[in-house]
Amino acid sequence: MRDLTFYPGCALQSMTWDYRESISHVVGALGLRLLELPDWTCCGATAAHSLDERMAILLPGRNLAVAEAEGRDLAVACPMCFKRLSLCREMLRQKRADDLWSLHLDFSVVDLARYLSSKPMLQKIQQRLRFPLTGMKVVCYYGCQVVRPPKITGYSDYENPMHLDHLVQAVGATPLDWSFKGTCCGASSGIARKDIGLTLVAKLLTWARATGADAMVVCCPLCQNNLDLLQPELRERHGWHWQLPIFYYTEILGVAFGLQAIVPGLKSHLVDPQPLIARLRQISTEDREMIASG
Amino acid sequence: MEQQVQLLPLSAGDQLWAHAIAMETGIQVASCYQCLRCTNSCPVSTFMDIKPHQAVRLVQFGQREKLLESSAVWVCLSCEMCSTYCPNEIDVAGLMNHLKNSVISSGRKPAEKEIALFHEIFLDVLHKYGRINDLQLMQRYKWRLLTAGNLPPLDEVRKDVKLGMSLFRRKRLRLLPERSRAVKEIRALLHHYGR
Ligand code: SF4
Ligand code: SF4
Repeated sequence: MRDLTFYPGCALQSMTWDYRESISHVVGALGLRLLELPDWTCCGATAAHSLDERMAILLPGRNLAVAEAEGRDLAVACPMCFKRLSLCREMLRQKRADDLWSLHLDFSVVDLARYLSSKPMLQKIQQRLRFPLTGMKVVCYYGCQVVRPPKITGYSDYENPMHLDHLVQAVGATPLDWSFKGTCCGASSGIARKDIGLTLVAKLLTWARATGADAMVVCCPLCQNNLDLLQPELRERHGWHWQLPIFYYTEILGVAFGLQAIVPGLKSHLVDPQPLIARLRQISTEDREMIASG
Repeated sequence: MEQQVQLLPLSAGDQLWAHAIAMETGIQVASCYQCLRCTNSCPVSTFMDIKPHQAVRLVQFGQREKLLESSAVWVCLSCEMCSTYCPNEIDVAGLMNHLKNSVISSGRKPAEKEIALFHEIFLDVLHKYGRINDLQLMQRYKWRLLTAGNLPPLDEVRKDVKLGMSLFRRKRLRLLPERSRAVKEIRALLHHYGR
């Protein structure tokens, strides 16, 4: 198994430590090594390119230069960072931006979720399975950053991405088909224009529920926060008597691997995912007993 | 549904504007045939005063002022639906972003001042620590709004405090910002490029 350099990004370092923890335990269980990029800095997110496009090259560019010196492919867990780093790499490769670092760009920028959903990794995941999530119905939500624009991200299935679906399938859950896999959740203006965030999140949650999902599975820390943290307010506004747990794909893997170490992270969600997990565990032990008793 | 767009008188500079954009960004607005695929795929077009396809049209017509005053360019989420689905490969999202940049570089007041302020504070925190800390970001942003005389409704404040407390209990708000050792290098880079 080859090692990868890892770019965590600010979100994972601050509010979404739950994502980061689940990544580290899950990749550990799979025998993969992620080595943190030394002295990494923020990729600039939406702010840099909105106010000054040059910064959207300078900030990711410096990180790419450090990564190149490390000499391994660069794995990125946050879709926003993945897109900013990939876009910058492409601009430099096509010589559409000044390359202050004289880069060779002989390494790849890799989306961690897609990496984990490659055939050999899926096999490893199945081997590591302890608690199959049989009976769990989920919708996978990819968000806007990780697949588009396809020329930058390299995703040819941007109309209907499947890699998260394959991951949840590998651990026995059922991914449902739905129409909003790549529709933006509005996180980037969620603070300054909360009305937009509330509208988009309400749409996604109600559709996920109408599709019959027990939970949503995401790969983006900004989406997770937006979809999870706005639920109390939405329930109050719309009189919803329901809520929907929002899992990172790595948490789903962690639960299926039986990793106790990810439980504190799960507890930090606003919509508690544990009752659902407990219910599933019960069902699957009953199943097992039934099978055992013939 | 379609709102009428009033055209402004054109100066020579406005007429050359579409060319200038094409030179700078490679975005060729001339190939737009107003099929509305961009607008129909846009998740926030209902919140926009000028819809994505209208923005492209207005560039063709050299209506610079109208676009630089619009709130739509700030409402745009950079989600790239429009660019991905445009049959003529017009980078509508890139155009929206270029317009935002032009508002700032020409010293105009952004039509959505809270969105612009949020981006600005984000870059301040980035400049100071090299990394973003959510608590710092939120505190500074709310403080700036307050000192600019925007008193939030009491109900809003109550909700914010409640959310803040439950995040704090869950250890999701880190009090101490993390600093990247490369922050000096970052400042030098940005300084070199005039920020
Ligand atoms: S999708 Fe492209 S061609 Fe159609 S209206 Fe939008 S910019 Fe014009
Ligand atoms: S990038 Fe902006 S204009 Fe284009 S679809 Fe997304 S929000 Fe709409």
